[in-house]
Amino acid sequence: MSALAALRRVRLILASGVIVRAIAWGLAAAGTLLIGAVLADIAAPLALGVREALLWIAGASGLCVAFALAVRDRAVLSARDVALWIEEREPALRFRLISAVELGDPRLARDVAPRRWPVLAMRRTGRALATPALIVAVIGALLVLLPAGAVARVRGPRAGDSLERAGVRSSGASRLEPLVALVIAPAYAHAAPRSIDNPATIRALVGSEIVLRGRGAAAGIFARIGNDSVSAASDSADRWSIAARAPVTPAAIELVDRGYEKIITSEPIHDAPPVVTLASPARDTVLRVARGRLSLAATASDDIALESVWFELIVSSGEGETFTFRSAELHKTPVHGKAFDLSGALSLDSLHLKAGDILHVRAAARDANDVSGPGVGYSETRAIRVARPGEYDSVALDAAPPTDEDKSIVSERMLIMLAEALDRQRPTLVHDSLVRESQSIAADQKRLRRTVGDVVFSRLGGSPSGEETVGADSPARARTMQELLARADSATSRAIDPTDFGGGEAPVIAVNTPLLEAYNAMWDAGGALEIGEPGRALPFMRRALAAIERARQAERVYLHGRAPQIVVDVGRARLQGKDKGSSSTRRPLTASDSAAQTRELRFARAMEMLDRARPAAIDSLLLLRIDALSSAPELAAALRDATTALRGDEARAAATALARARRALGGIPVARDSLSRWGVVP
Amino acid sequence: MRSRRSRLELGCRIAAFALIGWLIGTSLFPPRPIRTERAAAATIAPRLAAWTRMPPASELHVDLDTVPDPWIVDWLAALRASGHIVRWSGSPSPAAIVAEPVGDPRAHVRVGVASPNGASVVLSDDAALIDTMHVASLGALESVPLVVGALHASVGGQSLEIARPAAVRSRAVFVVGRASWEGKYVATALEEDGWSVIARFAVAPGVEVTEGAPMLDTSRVAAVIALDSTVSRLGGALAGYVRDGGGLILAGTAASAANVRAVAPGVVGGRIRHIVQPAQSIALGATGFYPVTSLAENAVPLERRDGVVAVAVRRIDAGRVMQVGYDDTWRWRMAGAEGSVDAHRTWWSRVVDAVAYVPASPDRAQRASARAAPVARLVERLGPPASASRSNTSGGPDRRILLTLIMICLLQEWSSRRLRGLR
Amino acid sequence: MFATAQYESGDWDSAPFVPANIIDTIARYTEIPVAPIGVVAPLSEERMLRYPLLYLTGHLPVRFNAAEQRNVRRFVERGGLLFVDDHDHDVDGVFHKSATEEIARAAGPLAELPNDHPLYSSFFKFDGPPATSQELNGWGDNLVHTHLLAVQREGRIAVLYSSKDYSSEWNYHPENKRFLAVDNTRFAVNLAVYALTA
Repeated sequence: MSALAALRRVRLILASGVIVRAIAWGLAAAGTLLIGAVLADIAAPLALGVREALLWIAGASGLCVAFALAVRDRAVLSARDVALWIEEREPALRFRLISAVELGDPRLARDVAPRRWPVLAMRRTGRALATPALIVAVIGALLVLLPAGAVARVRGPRAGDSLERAGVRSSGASRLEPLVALVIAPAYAHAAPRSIDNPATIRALVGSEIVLRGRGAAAGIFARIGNDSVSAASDSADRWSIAARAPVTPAAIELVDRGYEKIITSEPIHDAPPVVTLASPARDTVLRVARGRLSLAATASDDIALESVWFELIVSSGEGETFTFRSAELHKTPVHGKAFDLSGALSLDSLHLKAGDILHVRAAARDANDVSGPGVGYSETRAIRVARPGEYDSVALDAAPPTDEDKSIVSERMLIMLAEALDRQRPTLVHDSLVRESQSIAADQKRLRRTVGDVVFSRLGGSPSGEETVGADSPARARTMQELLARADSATSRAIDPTDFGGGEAPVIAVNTPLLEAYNAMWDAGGALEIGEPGRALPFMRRALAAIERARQAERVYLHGRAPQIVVDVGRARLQGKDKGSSSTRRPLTASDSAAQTRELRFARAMEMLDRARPAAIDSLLLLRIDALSSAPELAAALRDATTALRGDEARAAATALARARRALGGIPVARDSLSRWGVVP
Repeated sequence: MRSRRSRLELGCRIAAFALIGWLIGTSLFPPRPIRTERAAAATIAPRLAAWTRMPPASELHVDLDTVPDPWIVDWLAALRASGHIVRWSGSPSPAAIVAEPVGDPRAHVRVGVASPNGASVVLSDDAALIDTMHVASLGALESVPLVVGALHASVGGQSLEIARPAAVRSRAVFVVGRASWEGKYVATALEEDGWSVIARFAVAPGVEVTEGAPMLDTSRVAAVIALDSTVSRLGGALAGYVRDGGGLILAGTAASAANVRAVAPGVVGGRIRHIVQPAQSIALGATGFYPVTSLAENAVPLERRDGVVAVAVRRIDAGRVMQVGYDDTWRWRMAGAEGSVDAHRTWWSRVVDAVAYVPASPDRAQRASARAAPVARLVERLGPPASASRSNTSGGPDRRILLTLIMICLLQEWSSRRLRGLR
Repeated sequence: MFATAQYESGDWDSAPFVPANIIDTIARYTEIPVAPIGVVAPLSEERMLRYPLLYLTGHLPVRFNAAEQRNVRRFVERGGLLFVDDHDHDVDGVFHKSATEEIARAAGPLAELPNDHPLYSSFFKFDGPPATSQELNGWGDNLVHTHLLAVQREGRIAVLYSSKDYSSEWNYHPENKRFLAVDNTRFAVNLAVYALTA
């Protein structure tokens, strides 16, 4: 073997030693931390998150130590340093080896005897590895000697491993601590079982199985769920378990072990029906001819799982009192998953729709709930109507002429533009021309005002242009909006109190109020234009335009038109009936919040108990929370926070949560910032 | 015989020497001093025992920024009674708390805290914090729905406490009017809030829808709500019921009925109408109301709207009458914004609370604890505050005055002699 | 104010004379203030909440859109009474199936209303829902329905559902009432009085 070959071998041995030593020290560091965590967990249970963090810290520490040592001893990779290391131990070499390495000339080390060098390296490596190997061995032995469950909790932390935790337990101690709940969701949910350590509340999908497990013998342990009682069974020598179906309503699971009790809240999660949206057809439609294909599209989603999605059709035919109906399901598709987009097409020809027929289309979805369902969700329904021959349906015709208000807007806007232009040219125009042009606009304004007047009066039931019958420029013009409204109202000859329209909100009034305002503004604008004052007219014209736009927004056109209005002569009919009724009795209502009052009492009792019997008070609050879960979720949430804080001795959090609970119970107090002899009302 | 002037000079000399002699005497043989102790509120408690062992007639002075615990005040009062001179100074925040039952079915408690303007009042009970109130004028009032144990208030570092008042039995509310949405929803709101309702709704001549036995008696009925002029069917008994302490609410046009006109807070004015757009939610009074005009002498307007009075109240002997201008609050409930059902229910319940008959609380005296009005109790036990700058030297006239007197006497005697030509 | 419910999917205005007839009847037997004309309350608009008694009828499928469903739910939650009458008088008919389904979604499931319910004695005395000529003539489902259906909240009727076709029975001009020996709209008074006082 040449000297340089021997050198390379020595380098390999030393490098291997350095790496192995670094790894060993890394393992020792990680193992020490793990053992520390195990011992700490035995002394006081560490939370799952803490254990997970400690595991990561131990791993990272080991890697850091190993890396740091490897980097520190990286010199072993250098042939020159290794040669120096050999020269140090073989002084007889007299720097021949280092010279050969540095100069790259193997002849300089031709006559050296490298036989001992690997042995030296092996010895050195062995010495370097001895200490870390010993420590790793001790750590390994400790890990073997420590309780396997305790080590497993740190080595592989997971929810539900609190039963594995080591600890001395006296025979008289409660077997309800520690406690693990395993929630097995129903098969259709395709959800993995979920473990919860020491649960205060178990939220489970309706139909789930809840398995409660604890340490110790099963004898004497039972659970009360409502009126049912379930005894514990032995899983193994030192494990008990109780299996129960998750209640459909919020309930307390009361675990009893001799004199020990523990209350767990069971909070059911109800599978909501699917949510379905019909994307196509997007709106109701009227068809002249029912031919061609109708594109259908819908989206469905469910909180747990969908089972199928389809379209539903109903075709109604006939009129008056005679109708026939046909219904069908279309494109029914089995689904696996939480969401689905369904699309398809419907041949209208195949339905043989006749004039007057109405096709109702909607999408539907069924969820996979085979426990409490299935839940079925529907989309909105679209109606596609086939027009009757000769039917004029203004709603369906895009090309229909604009409504009166639309025409008024166009015209008023044009008149404003004309008036603005005239006002701008005013300095350059002679007075006569200005007045002539202005009066021309005034004439158009007057025509427009009459049109708006026709709209107002025809809607109020009067004759069109009835307002002009006294003369085009009658001095009898209403001076105020109220006056004009009252006059218009009287024109309908309806002897009713306007408040009978529901506080003056009748549609007829709502539409006409802005139109009447426009009408008045136009009148004022016309007056200004007549005397050649376009500048003064413009504010009135703009006010008229704004009012007409408001009237347009208030207008609503219905597909089916309006029912005939029959005005009953109430005064004449009053008490003219031949029969006479008799007095009757009104049944008292149950106070809507009688349950709330009961809850208030229970809360007050629990609070009074809090100082002298804290666990009992917390249990009372837990039971109260169960009752509140369905009817008072805000209270339930506050009580959950309060009980959690009270159990954890977090006084500030508990006070805040209890204050929230009080407000949820009794409502927000009514306060007044001054003393008054009439209290805090109204 | 000595002249008058020489007698004056002699008198001045004698007086000056007597005063000098007294001063020398009191300097050589000072009188036994009266021991004076001063302490601030926070340091009183540990010193009470020592003060108790002090010789009689010692003077004790305490500076108080807050009123100490009642037992400390009692101890100081005992020291005072035993002959010590106990004085106090300072300006602890004058505050007091009072709690009365409202008489509603949910057993609300009306809590009043009197305190200086601008103060913040933190109200709590044995369970938790209830509310924080700001005082704008004289104090603050709060209607508390749920009280656990005693009520506590903290005002400017001052702690107040009062026991929860015993709940009083809730009485019925008598609703009378024509069959209408207003009647239906007023009765519904009150029943939903837990009130027991007696109702008379006129449907046709001689035909009524009734609920409960009609009666006008404060032992059974807390208040009568009249919704329209059909209240006249109750006749003159209604005014008698009010004078006995019963509550009466005259809604809409009810105040114009002949049998209640004399007790009404005002006259029903012409209805103010508002137009509500179709898309608008309806709030209380949004559709209009009947203003209360020509208010009676002792009537108090509670709510103004559009520059006129919408709600007014007055007392008639032991009873209270409220005139409410709103005649269609049902629209607010049905077509109001989110939460309007609760708001309508609460509003009507509070309106009834304001006038409802509540019997005098028998436990009022017992509940008034030592912490209910600490400053008042302090004054009661220790007297009014003394000046903090009061001298703490022993008794006797001020030496500066004596020296001045001596100088005046000697000067008088010397100038008199000089005027006579003597030396 | 008597209000007819307008919904998007069907022929909500199939009985145009019923509102006037009921208004006339209320005036004829009671002193309850009533407006001389009925109003139309679109279920899709919030202002439907301003009419605590709503009458809904039709022959065609009833499919509430989202706004209609939301408003109907709010209407019954706030204490309104929705009176639904099947103008088809056919329990196998599409109106019945679709309307009961939509009511269940918006207000809750319908249940039989006992014939001694206060509704039947609130003004006139009835032993149950009065029969209609359509039932007696064997039209529609050829059944004489002995009960009405209802959704009740807090002991009060929130939705009253009739398969008896009062919409046909009452759909005539009030002036023609004088030709009847017995006024067949008297049950409407009970309905109005119950709605106003219950």
